[in-house]
Amino acid sequence: MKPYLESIRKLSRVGLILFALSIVASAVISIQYCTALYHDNVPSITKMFSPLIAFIYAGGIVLAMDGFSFLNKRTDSDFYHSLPVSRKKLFWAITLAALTWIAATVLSSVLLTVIIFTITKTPFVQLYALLAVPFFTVATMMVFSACAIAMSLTGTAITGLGLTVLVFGLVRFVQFAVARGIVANTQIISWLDLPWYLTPVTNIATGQIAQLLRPMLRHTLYDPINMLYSAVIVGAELLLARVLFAKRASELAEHGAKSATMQTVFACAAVVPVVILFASGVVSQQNISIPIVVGIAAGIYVIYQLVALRSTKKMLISLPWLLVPLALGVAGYFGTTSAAKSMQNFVPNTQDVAYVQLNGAGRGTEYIPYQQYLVSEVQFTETDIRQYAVETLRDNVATIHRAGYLNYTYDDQSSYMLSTQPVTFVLKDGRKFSRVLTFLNQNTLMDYCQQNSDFNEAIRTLPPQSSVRYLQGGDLYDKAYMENSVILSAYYDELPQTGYPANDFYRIYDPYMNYMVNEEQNYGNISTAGYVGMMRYWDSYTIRLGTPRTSTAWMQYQNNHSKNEYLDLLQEMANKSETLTRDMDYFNISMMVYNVPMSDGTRQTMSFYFDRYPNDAALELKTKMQTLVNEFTEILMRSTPTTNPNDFNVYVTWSGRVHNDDGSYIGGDIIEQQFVSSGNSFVSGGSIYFVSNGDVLYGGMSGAISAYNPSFRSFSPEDQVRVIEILKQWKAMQDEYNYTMYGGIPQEGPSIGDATETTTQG
Amino acid sequence: MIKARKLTKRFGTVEALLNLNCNIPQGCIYGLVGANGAGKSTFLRLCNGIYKPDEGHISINGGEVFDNPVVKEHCVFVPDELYFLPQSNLNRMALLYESMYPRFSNERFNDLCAAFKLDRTRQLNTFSKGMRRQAATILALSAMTDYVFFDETFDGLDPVMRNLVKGMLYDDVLERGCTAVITSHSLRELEDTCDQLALLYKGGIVFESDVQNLKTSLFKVQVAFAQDYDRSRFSNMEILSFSKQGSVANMIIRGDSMKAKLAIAAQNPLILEILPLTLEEVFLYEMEALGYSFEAPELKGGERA
Repeated sequence: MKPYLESIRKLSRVGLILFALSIVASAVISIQYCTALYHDNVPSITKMFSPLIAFIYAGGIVLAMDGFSFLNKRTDSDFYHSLPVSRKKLFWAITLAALTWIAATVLSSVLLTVIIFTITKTPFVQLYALLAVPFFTVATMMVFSACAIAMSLTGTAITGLGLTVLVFGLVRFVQFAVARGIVANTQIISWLDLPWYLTPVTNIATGQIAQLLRPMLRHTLYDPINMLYSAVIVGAELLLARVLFAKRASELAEHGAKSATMQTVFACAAVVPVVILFASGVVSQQNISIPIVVGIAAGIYVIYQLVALRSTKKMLISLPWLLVPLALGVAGYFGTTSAAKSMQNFVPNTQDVAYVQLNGAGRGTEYIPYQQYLVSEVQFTETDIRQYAVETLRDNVATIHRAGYLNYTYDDQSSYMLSTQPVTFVLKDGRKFSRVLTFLNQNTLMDYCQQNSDFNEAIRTLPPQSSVRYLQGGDLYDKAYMENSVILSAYYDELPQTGYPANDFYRIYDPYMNYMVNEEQNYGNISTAGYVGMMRYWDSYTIRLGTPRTSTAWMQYQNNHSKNEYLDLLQEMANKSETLTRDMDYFNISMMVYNVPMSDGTRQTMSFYFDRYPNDAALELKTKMQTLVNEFTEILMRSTPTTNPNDFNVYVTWSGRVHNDDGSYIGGDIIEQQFVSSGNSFVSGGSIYFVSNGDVLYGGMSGAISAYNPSFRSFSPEDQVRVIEILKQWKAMQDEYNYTMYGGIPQEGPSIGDATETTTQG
Repeated sequence: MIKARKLTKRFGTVEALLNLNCNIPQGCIYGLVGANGAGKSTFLRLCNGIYKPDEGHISINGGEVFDNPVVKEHCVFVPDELYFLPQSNLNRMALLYESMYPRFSNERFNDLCAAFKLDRTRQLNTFSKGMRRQAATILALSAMTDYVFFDETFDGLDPVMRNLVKGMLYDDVLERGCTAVITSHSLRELEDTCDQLALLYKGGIVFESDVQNLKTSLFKVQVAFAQDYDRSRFSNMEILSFSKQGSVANMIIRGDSMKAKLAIAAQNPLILEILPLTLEEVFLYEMEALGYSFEAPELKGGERA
């Protein structure tokens, strides 16, 4: 106990500095995050505890180098080894003291972060706090143990640091390079599908570096299994360090290595990363030749040996040993290539596959839909999908053999049907492997998926409503956003009755855009973010006419925030846009029109667009359209906001920079009084996405007026008839314009019908 | 008792100690003298378990020393180059010693600090070389161990402090039966301190003796006779060295000086003078008698007749 307490005291100097730095950094970064204007998701563990990532390396190395610093100086080494404490006890005393400082620092930083998040009511995954303490402690101890081994083998700070890098990272670097080689060579194996012994994140300390290089590894890094595996490595490394420490000759102090042989071993180890980079294919053979790699390797070896041995003769004598790492490089090249080929070519028979799993195309991204988590757990045992997956794998492999890469022909008919999905095959003999497959037809895949009841249930399951922490960028904790929750509640109520998948990702893709027709008409989207357990999700739900109460709530929400659309200003600018006087002046209007009556009896959503510039092409056509736009804006003045999604209604956004003949800026006097201005820009409204309580957050620098906060507006029956007529002509001219300017051919389908074919359904 | 048998320690191709044998009894002050590179510090490091012997054994009270805390808690070592914790003061170092040495006495520590008049709260790196050595001595003696090892202890101490340390060592030996092993490259440092002395030469102890016996066992005689004479005239005496210039002869004789004086006086010399030898001279003559030839300037000194 006394040596332990003494070691605590000895390490207190650097321990306290690290503790203070970590605490301050945690506080600053947490406060910065929590007080940020806008959040749209629950933070990841990496984002939440980022200062501790730095602590893993700084804390591990500094505490180890300070704790064992006496090994580097003869007087210090003599003193400690003369003390009446066994080497074993001395080692464990220092190690446990370092562990105490590390755990205390991590625990305090995590606690402080949690307190700041709680006080500021910023949502976070509570379980992260429980995971973070052991995770970062183990990760830091990994660095500490590597450094302890290095310090026990050498007798100077520089060689100790150098050897720490080798002990800590060499094996993992080789592993990472080999994994990179296999991923590159196979083309159908992802970083997330490598066998466990090649997965870079099983070691959570080096995994932090790997996830910076390959962000998709972030999700698996914090798996508790990796933490346990790393803890076992820490234990093994500490035991090795303990043995080396006990056997270490005191006279090694102030010497780089015990012998010239050891120096040569270190030199060979330092060369390995260079040859492995080449051998694994990370360094392209097209860009770098073998002589250059050998030259760099030899250069590193020679410089190291000259510095370490301080004798040209000794260096030359040791030179043949350079062949060892070079041979390792050659072996690595052939090993990686043949392993990749073997993995790539393995295609099972359908009857040998017990089931397949679809892991989700977005599994490597920061935010994953809730349904994807559920789907990834589904076991597809059905013959059709097993067969489709095996055939696709066989076809993918054959294509790579034929063309060198997956070069499926992308044509108009099929390109949008291609779907790249990571698939796990579980064989009947228990073996399991995963490949990233390119399916030729996602609808076929989806059809086969829908044969599975678990899948059908998974894609229609919404996360528990209580788990939602963010809505449309709004925060449930902020009462100003509560109206969003009305939309969400309506969606939760209505979705089960519709049979729609919760997320459009799992809908059968319709090449004929039928999702703009009848109940499929889309009023908007609402996104949610939250977590269940430690699983964070981000969902986006489409608000359709098929969920009318949700649509009504959405329209109500939009209309509430559309305090003043300045339609008079719109009309004035539209009229004046016929004769724009300044080069920088412009005007555009864009609108979505819902429930447009069509000749086939359906109701559809249609979009219309018009713009004017001082030097317009197709001036004659624009002038004709201008007349329609002017009339439309006049009728729009008489329209009224509606929250009935079945109404024939419009949603108009516009933007412009138009001057009067006297040089005055149209709308300048009104807009100047608005909430927000930025530089020479006037802003009449903000995108709803950024609006919480009606304040405007949109700002541009062009001096233009942008009105992006319209309400949904409907018309009197008489005006409705006229508007539909206007739209018919507008559509014809718009198609003509697109054809004239861009060669665009209008889509086939029903045309706009007569007003008599629709009725206002209030 | 410290017992070394065939103790060998090598550093690369250099043999620092080679087949060293010695017994250091309990309750004595044992001086180890030797030229630079003779192996004194290596021996002390082996005694304290800092180095592991390449061959042979060293034991204290019957137990092997290396990595043996049971034995080592009876030993404290003050090396030639001192170590203190960074930015530490005497109080902090006392805390370290207290946590390592089970018999560390705070009372003794307080007494010694008072005796040496050292500021216990002042950072040790601001101390002079002599003050740092005093501090190390205070800490070592406060550990209350059975064995104290000093490497070049008196280096850097002024005469007053040197006497103070010596006095404390005597007290420890007399009162607690402590054993002190002191090394020095200068015999003069040790001759009035140690009970036993050993000479270390090229990694081995070539001579070991009780200091009191050593000092009285040899003496120098200066004699002259009217008639011619040579060494054979004194054949009944053990003469280690004989030189004659004119009628005056100088002799180094082992034995009883009074008996020798009477025997020579009986031959009616013109001059007869019995002179005591310094310890260094005794060592050199004894070594020459054993067949060793030294180049070490410290041992030759300027006083050899």
